[in-house]
Amino acid sequence: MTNRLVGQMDAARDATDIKRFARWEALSAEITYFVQNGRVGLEIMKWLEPRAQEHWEFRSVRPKPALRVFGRFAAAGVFVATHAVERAPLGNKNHLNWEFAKLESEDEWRCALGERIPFSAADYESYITGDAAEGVRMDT
Amino acid sequence: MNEMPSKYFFRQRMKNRVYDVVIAAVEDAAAKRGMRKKDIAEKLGIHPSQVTRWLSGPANWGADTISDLLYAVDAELEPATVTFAEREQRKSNRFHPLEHVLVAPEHLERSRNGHVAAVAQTSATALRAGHSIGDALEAANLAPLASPLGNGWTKSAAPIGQAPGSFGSMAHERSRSANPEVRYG
Repeated sequence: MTNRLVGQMDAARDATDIKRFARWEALSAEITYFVQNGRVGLEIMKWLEPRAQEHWEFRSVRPKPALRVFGRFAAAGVFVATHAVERAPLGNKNHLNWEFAKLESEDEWRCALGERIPFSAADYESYITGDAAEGVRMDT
Repeated sequence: MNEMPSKYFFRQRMKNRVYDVVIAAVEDAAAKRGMRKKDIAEKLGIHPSQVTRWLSGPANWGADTISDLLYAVDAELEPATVTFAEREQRKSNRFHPLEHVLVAPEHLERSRNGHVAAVAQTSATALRAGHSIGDALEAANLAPLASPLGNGWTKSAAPIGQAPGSFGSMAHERSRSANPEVRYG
């Protein structure tokens, strides 16, 4: 996680608003789950389109408001989470706010890693080398 | 550094862990017995799209959902509890919220977990101490792909931090035995 994301989490932890505190505690638990090799699928990590830009979102749906943590992979299995935003203001999938969030993510990436090129691979499982699958391994 | 996370943290943690074990049971049924979403829907008397929604994440799961999904694959949960004190004694299963994890570079593993752990711990501890993500990646022996010592790729003069039972063991945290067990019918 970048300084910015750590700051976001620290600020929420110090918040007197119990709903806000609870919301970010849940996010912290989900990130911990991810780090501890919990199952990773589309419900948690999504490769954003266009995939060539190498932007990912870590999805934290409940409790409301839903949060999205943006980031990119520095190498296989190394997700650098840059910052979190609430899902609702991002709008629908074609809304310009998604592009703004991606640009912010790129800024944070540069602050942390300079001109390092994000890791790139052809398929989802190549990024997350643990227990990862885009969907549940089951036929319809 | 033994401050316990809040109840909200544990609520989400339990959801994730139960989801993990239930999905594993469902996938196991698919792999070994050819179970399909359609089969689950038929057995439960619900629409297949509902099954798809359930399998997409634990956000809306209740106890009934968990029971139904396992019932559909001829299984049930066999819950067990563990006190925090007991968990602390089981080093391999020690509980590690991000905030409490410190790690020495030599404890990092060349695994997915080790790498992710390196980044995670950076945020929780090393960043506050003035270290960088680059330190963590470097500690994990990940060669930079560009700008080898650009912004963020500073050499760390001291270990990032260390504590007994740190991320080194955390990398092994996840195991089926650490989760609620599934009993098959």
